[in-house]
Amino acid sequence: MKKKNIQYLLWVNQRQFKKRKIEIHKSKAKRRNKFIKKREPVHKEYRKSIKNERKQISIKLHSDYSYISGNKKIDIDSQFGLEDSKQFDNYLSYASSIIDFNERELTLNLNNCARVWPSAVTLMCSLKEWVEFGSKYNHIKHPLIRSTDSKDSSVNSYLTHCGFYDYVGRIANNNSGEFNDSHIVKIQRELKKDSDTMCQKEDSIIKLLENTTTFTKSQIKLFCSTVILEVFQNVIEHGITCNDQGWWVLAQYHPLHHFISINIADNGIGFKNSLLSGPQSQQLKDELGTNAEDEGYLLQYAMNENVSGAIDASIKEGYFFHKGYKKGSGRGNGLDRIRTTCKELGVPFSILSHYGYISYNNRGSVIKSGSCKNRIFAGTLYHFNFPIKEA
Amino acid sequence: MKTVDVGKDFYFRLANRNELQGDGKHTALEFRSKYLSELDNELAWKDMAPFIIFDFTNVKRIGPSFANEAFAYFMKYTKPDNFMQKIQFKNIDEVDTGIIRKELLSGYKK
Repeated sequence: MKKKNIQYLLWVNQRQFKKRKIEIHKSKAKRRNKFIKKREPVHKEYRKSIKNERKQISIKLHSDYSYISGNKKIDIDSQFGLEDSKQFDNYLSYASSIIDFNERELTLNLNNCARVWPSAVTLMCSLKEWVEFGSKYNHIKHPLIRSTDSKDSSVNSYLTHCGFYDYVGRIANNNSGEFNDSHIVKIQRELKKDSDTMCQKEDSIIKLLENTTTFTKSQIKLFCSTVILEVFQNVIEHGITCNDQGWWVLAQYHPLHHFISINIADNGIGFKNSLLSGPQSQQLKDELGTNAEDEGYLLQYAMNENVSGAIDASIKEGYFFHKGYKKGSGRGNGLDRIRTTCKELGVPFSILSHYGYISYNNRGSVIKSGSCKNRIFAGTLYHFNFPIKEA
Repeated sequence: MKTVDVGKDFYFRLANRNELQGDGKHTALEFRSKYLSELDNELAWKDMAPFIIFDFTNVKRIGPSFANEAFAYFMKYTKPDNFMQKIQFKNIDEVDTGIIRKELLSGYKK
């Protein structure tokens, strides 16, 4: 073959090769764009569908409850609360029998109860909302919930003082004179999500911490800016955005026990439902398999891996080994901020979300984590034991 | 160079990342587009001359999510030290500086 012809053939091959390369590149880009468009979280329709799905989940959570007949009586003896780490398992067993009741009447027998801690008060307040919301959506009469007085008058007067009796509409028998108003941020159902309400609550927690602890103003501000503010954002997103069920704050100074119990809760769809209905749901299911259904496992995973249930959370893009986050974006790190700041300040904390729970000590190590057979909280509870003195 | 009194000109509580968080008002996205939109390109970060001063006198607190969306967003163009040179903060306490710095170092995450 002539030299000229060989050169011509090589030139044609090269041209064809380049053309083919461009075609492949274009088709890959087209496929990728189609994929991103389908899952892009900023898409309005996509956001709307997540919101609707969460609304449906919220209603479905109550579908198993009928509250038709029967009477359930739960004896709460000794202490009821997460504040004393020795009582943690007791709290879980009480909580799982309280939230998941399905009878016409529930009686909480506090006769032999020696102490009701703020975390238990928060649980009982969220229970009221849980049954009322469920009854409304199932179009049934809501069950009757009663509580007896304790033999210990300080238990009854504390329930009055912290705002619990006001909240549930029960007439208080005892006065709460022995308690100091400056030692508490009383519980009430918060329905507003405006910055002024948030700021007011943050200020009252700061004031309580400044008046009762030896922590510096900077340390308290750090706790408020990174932990309280972040938790408020979470409970508002899950508590109000979904079905307007509100959120609660209860903080109490315990001088004899040397800590301030801070409890912030919502009655939302919980960690698991939030993560599995968010933009990262598919990748979580792929990574965790059947474990994705275990609330306790997912809770621990969320604390360590910083996944996010936010509607606009980042998702991995690409295929197989090239799968990764878009340049300049990553996964949510709100829980990580909470964990690291609590570790820095030596604040033990626990999170309870529907069936799952996780508890950290003041050195930031997990001391308890897992799932219960029954629901242990109607939504999500963030509980902090803020120490009076630095460790 | 422009100086902005953030607490008066924008808001005293810097918490919401975008319209989906909190009450959806005074968000970091809004903040970024109001004061820093000119810096949303690679070219703007080639020149290290100070661009703006944020006066934090009237700011009560800043949350990590806000700091991440408003400031750490630019970590795709520059490094934390360069950022602090171009965007300066006045009358800001150590806690708020620490929160902003931490977010700049950890990068843009949502």
